[in-house]
Amino acid sequence: MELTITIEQKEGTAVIYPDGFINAHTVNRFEEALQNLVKEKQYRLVVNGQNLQYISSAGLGALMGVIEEIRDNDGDIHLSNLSESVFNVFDILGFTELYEIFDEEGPAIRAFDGHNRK
Amino acid sequence: MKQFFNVEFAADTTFLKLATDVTISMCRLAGFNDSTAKDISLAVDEAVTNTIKHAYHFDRTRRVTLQFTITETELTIDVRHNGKPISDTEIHLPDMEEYMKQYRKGGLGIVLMTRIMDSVDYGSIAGIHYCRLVKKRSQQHAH
Repeated sequence: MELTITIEQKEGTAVIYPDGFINAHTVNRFEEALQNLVKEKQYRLVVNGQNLQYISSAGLGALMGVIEEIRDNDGDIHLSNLSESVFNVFDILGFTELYEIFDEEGPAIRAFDGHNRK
Repeated sequence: MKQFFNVEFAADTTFLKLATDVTISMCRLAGFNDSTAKDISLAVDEAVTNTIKHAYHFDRTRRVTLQFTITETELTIDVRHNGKPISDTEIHLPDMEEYMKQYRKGGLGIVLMTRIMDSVDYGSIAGIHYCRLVKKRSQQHAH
């Protein structure tokens, strides 16, 4: 399996663990996981990239596909535990300005406390 | 001296990972460090994905060719196909500031390619269309 997605609920936040590669071949699984959470009205999401080996623009497109609805509902997507190469993809595109990126999962979850974009 | 390596595969996203793995190996052969090799493989992923999506409309019976050429001064990677040529409108670079304000989706591949590579060109020769990605080798890599 090139990509598996695990989701855990922690302190009112859905933490998504992608394991493997996110490219145009596997992105549907990632996109589906994000869209299902939004359908369930879960608007506080952390993507923990500790086992994410690779992401192409397809994966960033999947995040862009849900971020507007999430922020319209006072939520956000935080990213954590990104490898240098995955962080680099966000950085090349300037997405480090659009998403909050944390070294560890805990702070990424706790940053939602008192967080309100509106 | 020029060194060539060609690989041909079905226009199926199943082979994206193989295409990026081959690219990393070729980049190492050309003397690029791991970080640059990964960046270049991402540019190839994006070019191949665009080919499968826009030139072949996901028709898996068609073929994509990668040609790697290493010279003293640069690594050139041609992503070739004989499907629909990529049009000027499809290779338009988005304004990233507006892109983020509007939470747009798609069109990021070309941005990654142009930011990673030294040049990205599209063209056609005798009915074969290509996206040509070029990365210059530093002086220490030249043999």
